[in-house]
Amino acid sequence: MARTKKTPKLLGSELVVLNLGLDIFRQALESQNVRCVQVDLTQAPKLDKKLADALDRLL
Amino acid sequence: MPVLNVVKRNLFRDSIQLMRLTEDVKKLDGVDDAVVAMGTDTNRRLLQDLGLISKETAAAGDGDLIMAVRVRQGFDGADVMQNVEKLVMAPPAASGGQRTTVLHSVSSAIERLGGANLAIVSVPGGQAFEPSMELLRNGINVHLFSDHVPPDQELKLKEFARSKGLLLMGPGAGTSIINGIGLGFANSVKKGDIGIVASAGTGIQEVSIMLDRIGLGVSAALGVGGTDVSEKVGGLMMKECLDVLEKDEGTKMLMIIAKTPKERVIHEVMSHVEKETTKPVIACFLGLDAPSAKPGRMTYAKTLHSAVFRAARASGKEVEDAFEGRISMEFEEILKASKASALTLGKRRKFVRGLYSGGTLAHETLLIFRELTGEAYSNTPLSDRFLLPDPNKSKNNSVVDLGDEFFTAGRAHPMIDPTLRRLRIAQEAKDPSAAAIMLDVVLGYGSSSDPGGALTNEIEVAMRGGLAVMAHVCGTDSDPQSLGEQSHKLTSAGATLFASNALLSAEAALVVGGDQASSRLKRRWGDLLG
Repeated sequence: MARTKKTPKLLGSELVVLNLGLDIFRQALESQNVRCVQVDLTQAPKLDKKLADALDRLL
Repeated sequence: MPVLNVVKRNLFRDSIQLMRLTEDVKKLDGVDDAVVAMGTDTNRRLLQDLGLISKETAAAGDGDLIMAVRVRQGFDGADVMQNVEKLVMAPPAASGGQRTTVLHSVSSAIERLGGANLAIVSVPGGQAFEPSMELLRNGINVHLFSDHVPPDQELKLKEFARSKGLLLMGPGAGTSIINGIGLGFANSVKKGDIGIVASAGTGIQEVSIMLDRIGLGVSAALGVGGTDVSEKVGGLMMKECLDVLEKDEGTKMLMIIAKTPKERVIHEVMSHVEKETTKPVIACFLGLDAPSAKPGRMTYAKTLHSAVFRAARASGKEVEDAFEGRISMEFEEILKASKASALTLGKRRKFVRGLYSGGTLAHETLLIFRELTGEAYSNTPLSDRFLLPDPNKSKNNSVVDLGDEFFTAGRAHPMIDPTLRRLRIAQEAKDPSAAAIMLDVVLGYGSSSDPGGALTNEIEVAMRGGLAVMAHVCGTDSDPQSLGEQSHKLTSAGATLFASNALLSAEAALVVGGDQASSRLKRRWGDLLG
């Protein structure tokens, strides 16, 4: 019987990337013309999620 | 010249920020030399070696930031340190020329970007679980570069990813190539129809650049991290990735690369391959003898070099000829070169020192040494008996993985920051028993902008001291650093280059192993280099 499991669909799609951590990887992505955004979770460790989201809306 | 240290307690900067701060501090007026680093053992030893340590640093711990400066004559130390502190304590910013927006939560980043389908996660391993799970919950595939994610968390993430039809590549996934885009440390290679799944980051790099050199290309290379092939995880994501490549119309051949997987896991993965795939497969399980292969679509290779040779042979005579012409060497050629090198060495120079930035390449070298000269010492040895008592000091034939955690705690990886390797080359050059130094120079996205050029001073010093320096450049001409330019810098400094790490290793083994090693190589040629 054929399996019904889901197979990831990443190949063949345009990559749109979130980069969490080392900025050097964002630079590498941008140099390859990949649409990406840098996320730094260490910059505001004391912020709760609502506040972090609010701050990001202001940026 | 006075050496001054300032320690800031509980102040964290990541390894890349620290490397850049070091370069910026060195440019300040009155600074002769400087290091900005976290207070780990490795970094304190580095400061000692550079003559940049003072008593203030003795009490610094892993979580403390050290600013160590040698002040030029005629400058006021207090003034210089004030400027250093001002620079170091400025809020860190994303670098790279133009101003970049940095967001502070996964949810706002998803909202801002729109259509995100992949995340690269390189936060400290202990903090990787929550954001990775949040990404998966939002339907985003994850390339988890971070090491040291607890095994239970790894399994939980992977099982959840599988249930959602997503990929969780890693932890410790150094390299992937998807839709021609390099992720982590990856080379710029031709697109083609070979799909790679690997639990070995520099294994992907080595195989993909060799395929590129003989005109073959990669449809996708999916790095799953070394722990995926542990007993606990059982190759879960390796099997998922094989399914992805099996369904991919652009993939005609599968390659599997794993660094010392457990035998049960090999069996499980290969059973999966047999049942669930239909495409030709080349499997390279570094460190274990191949399972008995039935004639047919599955081929086994003992080294990365052999895996590429088998791919070339499967691709037709023209490609096989390209392999023979551009990568392979004749046995007689290696023998002649090794004898010529051996003649230039003094009688006391007996041992090879491999100083590697790529863990899989170091591992391949250890395997080839075991076959040709007997096992070499290492910080990541094949058997415990050959564990270096102190990774900072080589012993007899040694192969050191400078990208291992022992060296990278609080420091950038040696593919990014060449400082530790430069010091180690200089250290080996002073050892009268060292005959040859072996180096891998890894190009590609994420790596240092001038990895070969950064080593040339130390290579020249070693050569003047009577050592042979041999290297393999893992890269292509399309890489940001350019294979041609990097090769030129290394050969101008006196290094001899080899087209694959396996050839480099065989040559080095013959230089110190003499007739016994050469007769073993002749017997094992088909396994190691054919």
